Amino acid sequence: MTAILTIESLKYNRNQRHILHDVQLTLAGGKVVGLLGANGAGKTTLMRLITGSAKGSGAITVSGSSTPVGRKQHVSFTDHLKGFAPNQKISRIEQFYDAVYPDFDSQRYQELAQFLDLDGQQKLAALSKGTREKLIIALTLSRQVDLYLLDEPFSGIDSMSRKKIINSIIRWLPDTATLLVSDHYVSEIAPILDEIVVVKDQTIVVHEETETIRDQKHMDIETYYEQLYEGGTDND
Amino acid sequence: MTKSWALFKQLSWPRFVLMNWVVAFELLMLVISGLWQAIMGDFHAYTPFFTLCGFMMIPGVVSLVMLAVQNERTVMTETYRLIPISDWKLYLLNLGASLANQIYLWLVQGILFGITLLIGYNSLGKVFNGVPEGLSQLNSEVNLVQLGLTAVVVGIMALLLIWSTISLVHFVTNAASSFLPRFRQGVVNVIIYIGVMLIALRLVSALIGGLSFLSSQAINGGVIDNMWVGVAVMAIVILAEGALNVWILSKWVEPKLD
Repeated sequence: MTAILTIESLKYNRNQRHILHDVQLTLAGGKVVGLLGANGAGKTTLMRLITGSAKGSGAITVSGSSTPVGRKQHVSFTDHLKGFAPNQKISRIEQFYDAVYPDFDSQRYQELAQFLDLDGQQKLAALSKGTREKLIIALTLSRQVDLYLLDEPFSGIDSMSRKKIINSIIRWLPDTATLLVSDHYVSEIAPILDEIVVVKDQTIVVHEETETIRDQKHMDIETYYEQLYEGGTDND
Repeated sequence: MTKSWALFKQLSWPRFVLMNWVVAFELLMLVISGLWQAIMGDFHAYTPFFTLCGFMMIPGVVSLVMLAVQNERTVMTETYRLIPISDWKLYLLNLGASLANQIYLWLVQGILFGITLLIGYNSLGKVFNGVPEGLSQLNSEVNLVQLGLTAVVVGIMALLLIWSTISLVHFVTNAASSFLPRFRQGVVNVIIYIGVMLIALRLVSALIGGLSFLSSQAINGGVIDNMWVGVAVMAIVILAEGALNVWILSKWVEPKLD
């Protein structure tokens, strides 16, 4: 299958500290990939490097585009909506997305908003943490792109809603698109993962298919991850 | 790729709302001041005009600062930096949206000025009758339309210069911070801020000095063309700062996480 994402020799330093080095990664299309790592391992930084928000060295290509502008056309990333005033209504934020992203699918957004119980008349400041996260998920998945980056999208969402979203997330994705999702609820997202990528000691130490882990190593994803992940350093 | 016009409209909307709040505040001050003078028994037809003249500077300065904050906030949030558009386009559209809204505020103020002038026209007639004579004494060759047009262009250039200088200070500090160890950032940021601000102040004072000289030349000597020299100098500085800003923005300035 064609590679959606290719990362070669990626390095990122900030404040005289090595955050990530020698990162190599290739992701094929149509996969759901879990990006795992301890707090501060560099997961968010890796996602920001893919979008072009963080400035590192090395080569990143998404669907054949290597420039930051080109990559942004193919990537939908969970924006934390800091650019909007607290009194902004959800419907106004949707209009913003519809205007600035040519690939934004309003109909899909309406379906997602209904599924996630989002009220367009509610103001951003009035949203609970969980509802805000639901809005971010709805906006991110409403774009029709090749690569979706969800950075800890379920934090603050109650367990019932979390399971509901996780179980249905695949149906909101285009068939050939890849989803890279980082989350601490490893056991909850494990059933939908095709592959896992583990960030540890400032680089990617594992990129493995979940089927291989279960069938050949006879371990569930969480146990495998916990055994692997020991003594990592804080780099985010 | 995002269409520039679509992004311009999205960048303009929150600024437009802010400008209307500024106008609303100005009108409120006008009403309160008028009521107070009416209570004191000192309200005349020309009162709103003079009150407005007294307040006019405040919305100008407040809007300039508010729009500068909007400019910087835009490039520092992922909401805007994730949009598939080049950094130079984002920079220009951001500045353009602020400028369009500042001009909108000036227009609204101009209309308010005209309305209050009309209300108090009869009372103010005596004062204004003397104005053309006074001007003709200064210089009979001064073209008031040309002078007004030049003043607007100088105002626009001064705005762009202020905003691009603020961005330069902000971007340089931000870029420098990313190279420094965290524990030294505070001290170095203060040094950079002071250094760049001193340079900016020297630049502004030289600019004001030059413009004052050129203005007096224009009014007393009838050499309005000299004003355009000042405008050209500002344009060059704005272009140079703009190029530098876009370069720093695309190379080192990352949107804030929180």
